[in-house]
Amino acid sequence: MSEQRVNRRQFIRATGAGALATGIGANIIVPGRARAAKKSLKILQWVHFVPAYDEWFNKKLIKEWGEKNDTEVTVDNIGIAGIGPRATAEVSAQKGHDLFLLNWPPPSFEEQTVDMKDVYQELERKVGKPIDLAVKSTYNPKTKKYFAFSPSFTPDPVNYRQDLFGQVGLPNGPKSWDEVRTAGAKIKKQTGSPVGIGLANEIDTAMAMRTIMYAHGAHEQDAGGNLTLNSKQTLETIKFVKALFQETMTDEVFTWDASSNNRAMIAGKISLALNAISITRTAEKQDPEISKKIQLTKALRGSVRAIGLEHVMQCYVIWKFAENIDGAKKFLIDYTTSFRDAFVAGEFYDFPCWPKTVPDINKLIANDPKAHPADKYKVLDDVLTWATNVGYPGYANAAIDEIYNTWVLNVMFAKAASGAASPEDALKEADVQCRRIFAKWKEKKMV
Amino acid sequence: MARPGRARQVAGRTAHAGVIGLFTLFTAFPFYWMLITTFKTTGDLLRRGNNPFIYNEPPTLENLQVLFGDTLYGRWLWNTGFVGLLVVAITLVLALPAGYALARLTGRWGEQLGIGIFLTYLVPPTLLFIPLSRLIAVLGLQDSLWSLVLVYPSFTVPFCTWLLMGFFKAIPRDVEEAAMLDGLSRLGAFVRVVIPISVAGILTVIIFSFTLVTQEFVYALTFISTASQYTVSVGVPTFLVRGDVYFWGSLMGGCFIASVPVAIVYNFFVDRFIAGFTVGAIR
Amino acid sequence: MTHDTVTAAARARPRALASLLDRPGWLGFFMIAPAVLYIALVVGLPFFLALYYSLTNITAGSRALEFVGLTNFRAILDTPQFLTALRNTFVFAVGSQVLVIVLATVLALALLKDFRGKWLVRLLILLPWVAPMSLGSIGWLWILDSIYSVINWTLQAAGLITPENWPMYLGKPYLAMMSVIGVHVWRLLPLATVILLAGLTSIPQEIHDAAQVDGAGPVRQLFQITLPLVRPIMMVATLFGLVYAFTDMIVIFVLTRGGPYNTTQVLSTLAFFTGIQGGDLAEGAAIAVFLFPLLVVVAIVFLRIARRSEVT
Repeated sequence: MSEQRVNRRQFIRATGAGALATGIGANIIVPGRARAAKKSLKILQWVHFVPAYDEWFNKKLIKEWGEKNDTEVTVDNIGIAGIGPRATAEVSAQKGHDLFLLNWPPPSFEEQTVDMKDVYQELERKVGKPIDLAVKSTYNPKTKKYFAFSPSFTPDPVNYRQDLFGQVGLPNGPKSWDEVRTAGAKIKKQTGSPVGIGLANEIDTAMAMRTIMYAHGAHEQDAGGNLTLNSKQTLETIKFVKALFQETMTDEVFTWDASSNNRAMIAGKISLALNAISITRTAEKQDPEISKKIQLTKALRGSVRAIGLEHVMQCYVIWKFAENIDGAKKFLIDYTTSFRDAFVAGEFYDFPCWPKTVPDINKLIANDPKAHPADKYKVLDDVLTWATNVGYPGYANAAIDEIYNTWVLNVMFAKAASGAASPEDALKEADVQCRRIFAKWKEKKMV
Repeated sequence: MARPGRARQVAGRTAHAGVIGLFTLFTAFPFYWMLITTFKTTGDLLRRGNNPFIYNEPPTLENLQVLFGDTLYGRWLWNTGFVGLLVVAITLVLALPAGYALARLTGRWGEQLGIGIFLTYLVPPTLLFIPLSRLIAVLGLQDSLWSLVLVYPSFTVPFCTWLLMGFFKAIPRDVEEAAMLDGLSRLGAFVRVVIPISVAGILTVIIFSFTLVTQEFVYALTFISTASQYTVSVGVPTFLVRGDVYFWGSLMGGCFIASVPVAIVYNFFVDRFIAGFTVGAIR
Repeated sequence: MTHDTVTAAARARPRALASLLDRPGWLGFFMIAPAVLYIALVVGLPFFLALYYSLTNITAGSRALEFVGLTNFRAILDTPQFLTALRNTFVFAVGSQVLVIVLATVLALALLKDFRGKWLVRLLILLPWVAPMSLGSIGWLWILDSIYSVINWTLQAAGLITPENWPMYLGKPYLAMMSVIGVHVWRLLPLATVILLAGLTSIPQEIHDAAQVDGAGPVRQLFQITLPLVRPIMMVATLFGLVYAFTDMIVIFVLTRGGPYNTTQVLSTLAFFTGIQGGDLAEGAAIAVFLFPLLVVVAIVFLRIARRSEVT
């Protein structure tokens, strides 16, 4: 109990205190800060899900790096809802931070960002090749430009209740989407616990629906960036999701936001969810009993392949108007080279896009004292091979990004599942929208 | 004869109490709920089947410790008050003379201009923050509370000018004319005679502007990224909704503490507010 | 001699200024100028820039832009998503405003009487108005939660619903719309009530007395005297609520983000998702300013009606 309390408090203290250290008193009354003689590097990133990460980043990493490079480094942490608006505001103002972290691929900012080609090259020289996911999320093949740089991503594994699935003969969890459907239906009938995959306008739904699509060979686009949404496979996937909903879920999935499946899983209400490891990490802190029952699986097989998505894609951009472009690049290279520290500080929330930077990753995740059991996260040992990007098998381009952010596919699946539209009509409506969005960005010559 | 009358009176009183009770329940229940939640342990809050109205586990101060000790909540309260008061001051400085001039000195086109000024109120902030962020950067006010001090009057001045215009129109012209016969200039009459009798109108402007400032979200979200410069409405959700976990107890406490004192203060002035609004809005 | 002229000039200058300030036209000009200048700079300029954005092909991540005329408006008018959002906007705005006005009238009439505990009641009714709305909405998110909703818990404890048929307030199209309207009403009710109270208290008692002498009952008095007399001020209250409903997105952004399947998507949220999150700033701007002309007309009509009482 007391340990729990400490954890909860540590949970937030990190960023609060970090902010105290960097910002307080400096400019309450007097706008602007006194210009120090040495170089400065200003970083903006989200309030990390794992507070210990912010603690490490804000207090340790940047201090040490700053001393070594004679630079005054400051970090501002903002909420994820503020990232898009803030990026837009900085571009409009042509002023802001040197290094800006977006938690999804930001292709529409390409015009304003520095080409990261040299960062990629330098790192490739130092630590070998990045995984394909990193390139697919930060490179525009049309303009041949790296508009961002991705050091890491957050996997989106399947969380399932071992006890419930054990009751229906699958103690190691489902291996395929068909098993989720059949076992999930049985569990719902026997225990009343439904499957919990969101069908709302929010990020977890967006990722889960794409995971199911890609596993069944349905895609928004092909490898060449041509729109392919309107296909037999997509229609089949919609019908599958509709059946999955009707047989295994309840209406609550329409109400959800990104935090709801965490709560539902930890409350012991649902039998399965897709999320970052935030569910299991929160359970470890809040409710060790339920934590023992929640286990993870690798990507589930569909009719075509077993594939999973990134849950959060860490993409750093350097604005063209940044004041310390070289420093920002140097920081990225150093940060990525020693990513192992970040991996540990972030409690395995972020996985490396550059596998060689965490050589002992499998050893680390096979023995985590916080986890129940200690090798809970071991199933993620091959996540680098099955996690993929939004827009697979193509690149995460600007059209894909707008489709993602205006919830086109979420709405398509939710409409069909709820019966508000037939699968055919839902697909047709989504297809019309995607066509328009693709045409728009093609005209802007960015796709 | 007396009986049915009495019965009707009782029925009327019961109905009145019922209406008041229902409305109070609707407006105040969420705050009651915030108060309860503030002192609940996370385990109590999230265990399904718990009676949510009672403390199944002993109440805790932990959520408040988190709020005040681990976030900069105290500072955000101060920031909000600081910006609020400055914006109120700026609003008064701009809107008082403008409202008076529109009411007395401009004749026919005053009314048109008054409505014109009001119309700027209709512009959605979801749009304006983009061009405004450029202005903020040019002035070097990024990540500073002063950016909010600069921008917030944009949604208080229009309405307050319009309201004060109506308010001043309701003041008999004789008041200033008598003062001017006594040797004051028109400006002097405005400052020494008209303003002192316009307390109700000024109070209305103060309460109205301050509320809008505490509510604002989009500008604070986009102009400020330094934790120590946040206002309550942005700071609290930023640091107490982490990834996909809500810190319900602290969030609710943050809302309750920021709301109740303001409501108490307002309640003392609500009659004056009503008086100010009556005159201002329909003249 | 020179000395004299200097002092004369020095004396004349303030006098010139003073006489300028004594002329109503000039004084008016000087008194209005700061406000107008400020509004022109901080609202006018950015607003026209934003309007201009809607006529270009700008994106969130670029500064280069080309003028494309009404292309964006034509494009959005063709999409069902936009038309749905347009319809939802009207349902949301009109629905919440009708409710606000009716409820505020009832509440204001009830508050007109003196009763014990009025001070406390008034305090409790003022609360939603002063709550930072980003947090107030989160409070409602918790109250309407699919698992922990206190409303559902109470209904179940009272035996009115079973665990299998808990209403999903944010998950069914009509329920979700009613929920966001409900929260919006909650937030606007205090101000509307206070404004209407202002209207009600301004009706002279003699009018009611005269009506009573004429034999008008309380209901007739309400509909034939009270309500017509508070109409002007009611217009102001309504205008306020409408502006909020059309331009402010925080309630919907926190509660549903337009879901379930876009049945609560309104123009302000759609503009945000398209223009800021989705990156197509020009189209987002077009969506956001689409209703501006209508709002202008509504505002002018309402303000005119509000101020007409001056004549009567």
